[in-house]
Amino acid sequence: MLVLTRKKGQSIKIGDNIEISIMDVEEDKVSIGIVAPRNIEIVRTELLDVKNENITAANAQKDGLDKLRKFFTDL
Amino acid sequence: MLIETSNFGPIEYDENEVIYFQNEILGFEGLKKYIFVGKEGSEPFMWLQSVENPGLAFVIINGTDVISWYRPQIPLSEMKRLGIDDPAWVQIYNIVVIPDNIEEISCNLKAPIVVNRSKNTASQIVLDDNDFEIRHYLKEDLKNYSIEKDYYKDCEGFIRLVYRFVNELKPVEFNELKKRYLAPSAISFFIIDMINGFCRIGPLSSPRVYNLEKPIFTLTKRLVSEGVKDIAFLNDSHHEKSMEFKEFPPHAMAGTQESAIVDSLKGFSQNTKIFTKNSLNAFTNPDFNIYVQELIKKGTKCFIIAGNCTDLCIYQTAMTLKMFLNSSDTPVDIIIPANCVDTFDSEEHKADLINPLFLYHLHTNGIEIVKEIK
Repeated sequence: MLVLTRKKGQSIKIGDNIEISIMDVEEDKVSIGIVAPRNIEIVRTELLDVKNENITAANAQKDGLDKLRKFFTDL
Repeated sequence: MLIETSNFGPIEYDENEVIYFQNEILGFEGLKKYIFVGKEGSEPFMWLQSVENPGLAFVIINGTDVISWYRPQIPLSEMKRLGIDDPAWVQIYNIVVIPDNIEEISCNLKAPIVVNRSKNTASQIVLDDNDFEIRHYLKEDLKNYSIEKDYYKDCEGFIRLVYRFVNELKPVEFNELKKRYLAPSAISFFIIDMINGFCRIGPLSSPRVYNLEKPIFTLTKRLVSEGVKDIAFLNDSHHEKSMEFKEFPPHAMAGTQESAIVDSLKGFSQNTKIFTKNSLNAFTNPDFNIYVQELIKKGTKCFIIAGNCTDLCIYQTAMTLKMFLNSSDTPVDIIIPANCVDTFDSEEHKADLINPLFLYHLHTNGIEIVKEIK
């Protein structure tokens, strides 16, 4: 992983079209400004993780009731 | 309304059971309407069934019930969006993943589903807290939950008995006590910890204890007017290094407003004794010890005790008194009017359980609990 150190107000560029700026730093929080083309989806990583977990959950629950009942008798 | 689900077959539901999602479940945008489905024998699990997609359901669990340490803080902005004005209506659920290897059953603590039951609105909220995992393994929690559930079930009948005991308490007329003990001078009265530090100000003050001021004022006035003379206030009075501060936050320091008797009862304190204590138990003050023995010698046949807290100072003082009486085979009664004792309420100290339980416990130890003294 490439690691760069930046100060408040500084920025980095990714390719020609994406610019990421450090807007503010406060204790352990960093505010980031992003300029990018519309077709690039930007999402907080944990949102993506949550979304994937939700999809896993929806797919995995098919015989849930039977599995759960058996699980409790086995506990 | 009827929905033909792929999981449970046809389900009949009412329009007012439908929960409307404000922030939809991530990955399932556009689906806003869900209903809860419970299945016998699968507690603590429930299903969140999509109304708009009969093939979609999530297994959910109330994480705050099952995981003892899980206490998510919902950001204020989200509370507003859900129209939550009373936190009592908030329910928190966590989506469960049931994998092929059921041992690895997990739930999502990071992104709970927060439901406002008063408006039937809900959101999946992604919390900022990094301690909450998206995949929290549930096996150990479920094991404990199932043990606790067994204990709880086992105790249910007893808890009902305790509540019934308290609900069926009878008042007693003062005249009846006068007849029983022959003279008002045979009755002594202790008022425990009716000080500002428990009623009005400071870290241990509580509204329930504040509400004791009126009934205790009424009772004291009555007893005084009937000629009861031996009245004593037993008050917390601590110093900076009080050992008790390891268990309770610093309170009722000697000489401060917190350790002073509340204004409403102050008037009675002029012709009465005041004993201080640096612990829950008034008998740890040797002067009080001597005072009680003198009262008994003088002919006290009944001690009435009022104040707070039922499970702490009241319990300690009443039980110690009772043990003294028992060990010396002294036939003197102890009466506690239930309307004149109470305890504080908090998440870790549920007054609605602790207060009745301790009243019942005092009763089983031979202390007479009455509804009130009329």
